[in-house]
Amino acid sequence: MSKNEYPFINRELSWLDFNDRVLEIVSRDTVPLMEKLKFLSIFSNNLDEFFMIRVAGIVDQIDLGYEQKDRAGLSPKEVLERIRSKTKELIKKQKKYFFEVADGLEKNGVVINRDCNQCHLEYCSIVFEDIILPSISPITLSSSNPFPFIYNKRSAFIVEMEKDGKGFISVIIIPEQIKKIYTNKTNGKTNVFVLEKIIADKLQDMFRDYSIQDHYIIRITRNADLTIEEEGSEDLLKLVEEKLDKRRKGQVVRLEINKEPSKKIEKLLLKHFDIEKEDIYITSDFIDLTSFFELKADNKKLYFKSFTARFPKDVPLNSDIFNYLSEHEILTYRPYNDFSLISKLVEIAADDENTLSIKMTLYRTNRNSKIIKNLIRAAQNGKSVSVVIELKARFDEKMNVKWAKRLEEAGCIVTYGIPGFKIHSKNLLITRNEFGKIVKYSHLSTGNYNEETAHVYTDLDYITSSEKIGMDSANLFNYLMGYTDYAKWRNIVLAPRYLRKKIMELIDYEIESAKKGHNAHIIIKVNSLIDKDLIKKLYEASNNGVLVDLIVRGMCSLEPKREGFSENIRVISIVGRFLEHPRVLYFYHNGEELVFISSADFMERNMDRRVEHMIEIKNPKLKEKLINMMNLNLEDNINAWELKGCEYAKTEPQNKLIDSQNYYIDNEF
Amino acid sequence: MKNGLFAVINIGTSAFRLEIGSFEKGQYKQLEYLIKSLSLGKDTFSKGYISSQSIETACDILNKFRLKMKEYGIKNRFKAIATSGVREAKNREFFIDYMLKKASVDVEVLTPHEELYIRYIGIKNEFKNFSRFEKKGIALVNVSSGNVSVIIVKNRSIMYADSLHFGSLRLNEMFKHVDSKHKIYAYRRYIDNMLDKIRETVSNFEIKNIVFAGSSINILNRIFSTDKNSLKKSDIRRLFDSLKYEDCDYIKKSFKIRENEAEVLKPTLSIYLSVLSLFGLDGFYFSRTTFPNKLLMHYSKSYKMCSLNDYLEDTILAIGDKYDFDKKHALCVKNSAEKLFDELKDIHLLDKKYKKLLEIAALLHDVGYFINAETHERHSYYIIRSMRLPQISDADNKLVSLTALLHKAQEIDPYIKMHDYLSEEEMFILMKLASLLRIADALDASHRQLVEGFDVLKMGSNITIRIKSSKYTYFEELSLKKKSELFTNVFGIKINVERAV
Repeated sequence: MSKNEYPFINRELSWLDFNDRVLEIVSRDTVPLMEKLKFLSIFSNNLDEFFMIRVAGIVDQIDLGYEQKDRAGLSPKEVLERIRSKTKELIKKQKKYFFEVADGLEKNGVVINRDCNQCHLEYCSIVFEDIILPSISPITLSSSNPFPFIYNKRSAFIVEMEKDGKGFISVIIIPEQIKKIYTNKTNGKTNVFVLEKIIADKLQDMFRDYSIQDHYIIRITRNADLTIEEEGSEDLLKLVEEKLDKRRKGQVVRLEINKEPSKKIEKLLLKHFDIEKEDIYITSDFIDLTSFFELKADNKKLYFKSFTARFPKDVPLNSDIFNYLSEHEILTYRPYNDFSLISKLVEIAADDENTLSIKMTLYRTNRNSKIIKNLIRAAQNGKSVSVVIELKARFDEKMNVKWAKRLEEAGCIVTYGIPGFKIHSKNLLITRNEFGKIVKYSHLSTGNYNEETAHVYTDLDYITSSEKIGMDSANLFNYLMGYTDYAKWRNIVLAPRYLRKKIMELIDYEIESAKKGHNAHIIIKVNSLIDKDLIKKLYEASNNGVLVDLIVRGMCSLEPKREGFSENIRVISIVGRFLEHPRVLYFYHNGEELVFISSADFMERNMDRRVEHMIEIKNPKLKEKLINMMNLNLEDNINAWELKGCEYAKTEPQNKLIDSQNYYIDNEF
Repeated sequence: MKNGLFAVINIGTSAFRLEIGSFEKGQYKQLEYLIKSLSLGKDTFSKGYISSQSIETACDILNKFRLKMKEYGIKNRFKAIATSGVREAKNREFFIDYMLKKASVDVEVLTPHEELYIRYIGIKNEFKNFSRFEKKGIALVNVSSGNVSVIIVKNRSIMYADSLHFGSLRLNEMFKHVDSKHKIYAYRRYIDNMLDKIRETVSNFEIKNIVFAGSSINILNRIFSTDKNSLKKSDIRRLFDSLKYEDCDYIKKSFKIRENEAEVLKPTLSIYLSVLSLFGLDGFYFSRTTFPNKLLMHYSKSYKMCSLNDYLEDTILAIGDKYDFDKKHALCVKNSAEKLFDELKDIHLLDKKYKKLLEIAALLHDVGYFINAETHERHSYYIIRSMRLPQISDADNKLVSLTALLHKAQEIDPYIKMHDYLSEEEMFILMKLASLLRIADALDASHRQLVEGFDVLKMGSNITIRIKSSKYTYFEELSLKKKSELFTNVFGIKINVERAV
């Protein structure tokens, strides 16, 4: 490989590795059983999304005749083959872990039943007759009853039957709205039944005139039909943009089946769903593990030990908070610090007579968002409230449209950003008139304004009354709301125009330092590292002697420790109880130590097609907190995996166990 | 400026700008600066009017700006100003009316001289030791999209002030059909032709410094990214030579500037080079503050040096000299008019600013003699009306000219009336000023300064002017009786004349 041909890891395969690491959490002894079950469910959910978006995009490319190799040197066909093979391995592993977890749970009083045994026949019959039967309609295939359409992520029974020596096939689609998990508590035990099991036991009752020969449970994953502007597969679709109208919309990209199908059934499925044999994935009778996410157990020992998220010390939770902020900056770390501080801040501002305006970007939020309720209240109190909503936040579109309507009805100014650019930046700006002096309070975050995920995602929240940052925040909103076409940026670095350039400059500075023989060190913590130019720049840094530590939770296309490219680069991934989400950048900068927080991942979409922010944390105390946090991440030997070449290996604890996630549960950030 | 917030909207030829700032303990802080691109100039300079699409867009922008001001609770403390893009549009009245009705923004159109005056005041406040520049001779050249305005100050006189129609966007629009290689020659020819208008004035005295202002500065600043506030002519020449045959796309990419800036770069540089050659200077200064900021400081009355009035009398006298006026008579009438204004302020109730206008009218009321003695008042009117004084707005110039006309004329010509329409309120002010000027003029009717002084005595419903003189003042007294009729008609008060014993 020449110096011009940089090594890259295919992003799809890297993503599958990430999901593998999620699955591996289940193998940890320290993880309680119900949490393990949740991770199994998360694994399945992740995989669903991956097939609907990414695999579907690759299938589109293949169908439309695109054969160009990607930067990792793989054609779409090769990528698809490897995805199929890796996914099948992972499913096997998931199945094994699931039954181990089920066994473990059974010993702890939570019994995941593999059939409706005698003890629970009555319960299962009631569920079947009262809940399930009224919702299902078996269709026995014939020339007048064709194979019914099965929607995305929907399961169905394929039943092989015989009557009078003639074979029949019946299809029972499981409706979406029906509950998937049923629990029956008896003798101090929680007995769990999945819907498919209850139906399977009642098949003969349903088809009394027929003799049931066999049955299969299938689950369909379809192409999510995203447009090129939508989030997820824009990079794949861009390559086949001209031919997009020829795409087969809603095409099936995966068929999961509980067991190896008979030749007859296989033929039927391949033909009907227009798929290849390789698109069939054999799972188990528990075909949809995503449904286990909703299962609850009474025994608290089966869950992670709960903890109370802290409010930062000395911060008054009334209008004095603004006095406090005029002298202090706040940096909090979710979920260890209580994210409700932000909704409290909005609530205080909403009732505060000095508040002139409140502005916020909204990408993803939760159903009963207190922040939004407080924004509505502020508008009702006569404050000028503006919300910039991103309507194309994948899977949150409907919710965002709903919020937009409610906010508008309350008198808020609702805008939808800049066409062609998704707003991923997370900003809140409160402007007050403090006895004739206009003061702006800015909140910049690495995470969404989502109070529910704030318990699960780790993220950083920075609140400041800095005049320069306030001006930049105001400019950002002016820009997003179409009030201005140009703005002068003082502290906030924005994508798409400036962010990549700034990061490149910072890396270049380290390269120059290293060339002069000075210390040069970069630490970058992001969710994904895919951006080709940034990866090449990091290889260049490594080749010039810059020490590079990368903490990349998910996809990473950079190959570390590769001779001639990346000997000085170490890549780790932290996957644990909480989903790592902050983006933090550290540059030694000749001893000055510059630390930034950002909303952007190192991906082309974030750098070029989204509005993202990066801000330097200059406050020495806050900077120290971030440096400590990054160092702790680098030392983690409980949740961390190290990328060695193209494979991840679990870091092994040496003398001392270091869990960067648990640390902040017990210690102040 | 009192503590608080103030906002200015500037409707320029290529963009709309809003600046909001706060004043706290004498300190100014910019809170918002918004720019929305909309080239009204492209419409106005090519079609002569603002298109309906641009009017709608302008309305949207102003509505957004209004919302922004509302955010800060700004209701009245703002000013919306438009320059040549609106000023020269045939449908400007419709534009103004539409913005008022649809965006609730009352747009005031600045004359080129008002614009130049505000820029000059801004620069005077921005540059340290500016008075030294003024002493040696300074030219402020505002190169905007629509016009090039020039003001020349030397010692304490404004030697020249005028606005010439060859701004960068205007040139670009005028010659857009000329092929790109020949455009620079077309620009040059037109610019030199326009500059001929000031060539003679400039040749009479030496100018040591030149300050450039206007939207063109932003482009140069971005290209040269200098920390200083000066550039050399050779820098401009080099830049011009490097791009003179290139197309807009190349210019845009090479200098990383916006398309609308790339479009006007060549005409802009042509203007700079021609103006510098005209003044024979090798370099220039430029202002770093924006025009909206200057407008904001001006309208919020926040400039320390807030007018050019100190130079007004010298400038007016220089104009009078140009028309070979009777300086002694002019100064005598001016002094009398000042005294009458002060002594009768409880009666005429005019704002202080009208005293300055009365003084100008008094100094220049007879300049028309230069053309013809018989109808000199009409010629005075025309001369003053065509006079370009940056510190005098067009509305004020109108009042001064008409006051000078009425120092002799009994009434205003219908033709002039039609051209210089006055509202009832303005007409009333004019009559008050003219009545005072007529008395002041009568007090030196013989042009021999025989009246050494006078007292104004207010007794009941009568006013007596008691003349002090050691000489016979029959002509003055006779003239006073006759010329004070207008005062009586306006105020209903009779003027008696008596000699002090």
